[in-house]
Amino acid sequence: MQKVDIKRNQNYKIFMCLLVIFILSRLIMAIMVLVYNNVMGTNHSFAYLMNPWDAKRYQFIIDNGYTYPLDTDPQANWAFFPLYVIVCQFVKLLTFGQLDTFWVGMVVSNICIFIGTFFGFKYIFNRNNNDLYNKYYSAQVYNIFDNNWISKNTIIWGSLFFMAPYMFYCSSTYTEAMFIMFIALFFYFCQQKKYVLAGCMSAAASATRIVGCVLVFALIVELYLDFIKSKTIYATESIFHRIKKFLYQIFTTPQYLMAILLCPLGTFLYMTFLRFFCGDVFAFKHVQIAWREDSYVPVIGVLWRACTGQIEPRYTYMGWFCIGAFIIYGYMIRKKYYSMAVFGIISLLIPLTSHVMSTCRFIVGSYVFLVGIYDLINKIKNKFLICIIIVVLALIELYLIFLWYNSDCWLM
Amino acid sequence: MDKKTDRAWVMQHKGIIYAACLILVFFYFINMWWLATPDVGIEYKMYYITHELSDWPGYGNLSYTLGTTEICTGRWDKEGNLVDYTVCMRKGTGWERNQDMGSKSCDKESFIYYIPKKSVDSATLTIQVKDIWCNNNDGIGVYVNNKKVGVFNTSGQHKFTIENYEKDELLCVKFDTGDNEFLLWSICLDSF
Repeated sequence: MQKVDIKRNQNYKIFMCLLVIFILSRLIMAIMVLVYNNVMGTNHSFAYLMNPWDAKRYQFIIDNGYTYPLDTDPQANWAFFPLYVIVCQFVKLLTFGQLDTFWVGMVVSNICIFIGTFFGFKYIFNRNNNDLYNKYYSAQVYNIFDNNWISKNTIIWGSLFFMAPYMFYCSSTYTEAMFIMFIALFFYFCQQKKYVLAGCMSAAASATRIVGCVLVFALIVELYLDFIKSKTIYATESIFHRIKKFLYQIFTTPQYLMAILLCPLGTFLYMTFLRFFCGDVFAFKHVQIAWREDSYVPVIGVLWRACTGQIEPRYTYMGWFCIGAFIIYGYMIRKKYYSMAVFGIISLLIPLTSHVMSTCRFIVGSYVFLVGIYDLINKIKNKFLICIIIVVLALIELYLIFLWYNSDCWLM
Repeated sequence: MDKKTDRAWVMQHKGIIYAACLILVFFYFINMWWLATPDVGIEYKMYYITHELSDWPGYGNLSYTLGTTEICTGRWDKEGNLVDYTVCMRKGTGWERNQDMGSKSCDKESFIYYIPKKSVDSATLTIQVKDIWCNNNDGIGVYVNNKKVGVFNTSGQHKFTIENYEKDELLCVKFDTGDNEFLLWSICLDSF
């Protein structure tokens, strides 16, 4: 058997490079606890500061399971999807219930974001590989990716996923990290043309957050692109005929059909649980009335009110952040990240049917937005400028971490 | 497994995969059916689903014991402490969110719902109006289950007679305010 030098293995290089950035970023978060306690004159622990708001609800569900709403509080915890909770309960069980729930949640989140980042980078690596292969088909493209390429790109990629603004959520007892991991794995398996596995990842994402169901549209786009590439489509053929052929292929290829049908499975399983728990399969949606009851014209009305400053200033900022996200998604379509852009747009439209609240978190937590940002940064030739951008993003993240520790309303 | 064996496996197990797809479709349809037919209590339905209630009363708390005077403020006082009197948590739509000083009407119609625990031939609805702002002489009409039981146009206590109603059936009190507004402090339903 041939002896494999593990240090030469690309996966190993990527893994180690990401690990260094990951450890550095978490060290900085820990240092920020000292900074916060010194500035504010408090003595809070890392776990306490990292887990405000919904993290406390997740902590409660991990420890006690789902409960009925109290007479004095209609905010029932079934608004929170179960997969992250189940995984945390399992990890806590492995520690015989000894590890603090917040630490369990943080450990799970950190492992998830690392896996997501790793496979996300593998996707980018393969995509660039294919692009180059298509461009220089006679070249041995695998050799083009030398150490410098990997180092430069993992630094950009790792910095974005571990230190970009709003990525601190992926270190706390929130579902963001797990959601990003499943989305990253979904696109990775789509790229590998393992559609049933991609469907499974989507099912898991839809059991983590309702927006995971939207991955079905991304899958359909991926299957369509695959169909266009593999079939002989005549230029004269109408779009109607192409779609007809595509649908025929879907229905005659059982694994494609299976993959599509698997996508929303997680949400439907949760709905079944809710039917037996409280009698209402849509309880997770109906319970939203306990949080907000503002009703504006969906999407356009919501964005208009937010961007024109008709509601609180933080929502004006979030409204413009949403506009920025749409621009990034437009850029991604231009760069042929079709399925990612479709997922990003639909997953942003869903919260915009009611409010701009928390949309920054939703946008960054949708994974694809960061892919777009990465692509933009990667276009820059000047390494110094890239460094400056990474540092600026990290500094914004530091400021946001401070606001997070302070439970600042600008993050809501 | 390489691509060829992968494809061969799929072709061999085509029937099983289609059967699994059918099961999934069936499972999704069952959930759609459950979505159309929720198996929930009336409080849940009126607060979470139809949004007819503006406050969450709690499971089973639309039930009403005759003679209970309920104060129309929120559950908490300005300092955030729970109040020590019985609060009217059965208000429907048409009331302002801020209830510190009582419940102020904010729409053309304002509702309050009861599920009486006892059937009664006739009863009295007593309301304590803290303030009233009338823009016309029509006053504010009071309806019980869409039947007019009286009108008021001043602040203070007002009593209205209600004809028979059945226990465990929803009783809807409607204040037809039109262009007027009023501030309700307390409400009580009692048998003669």
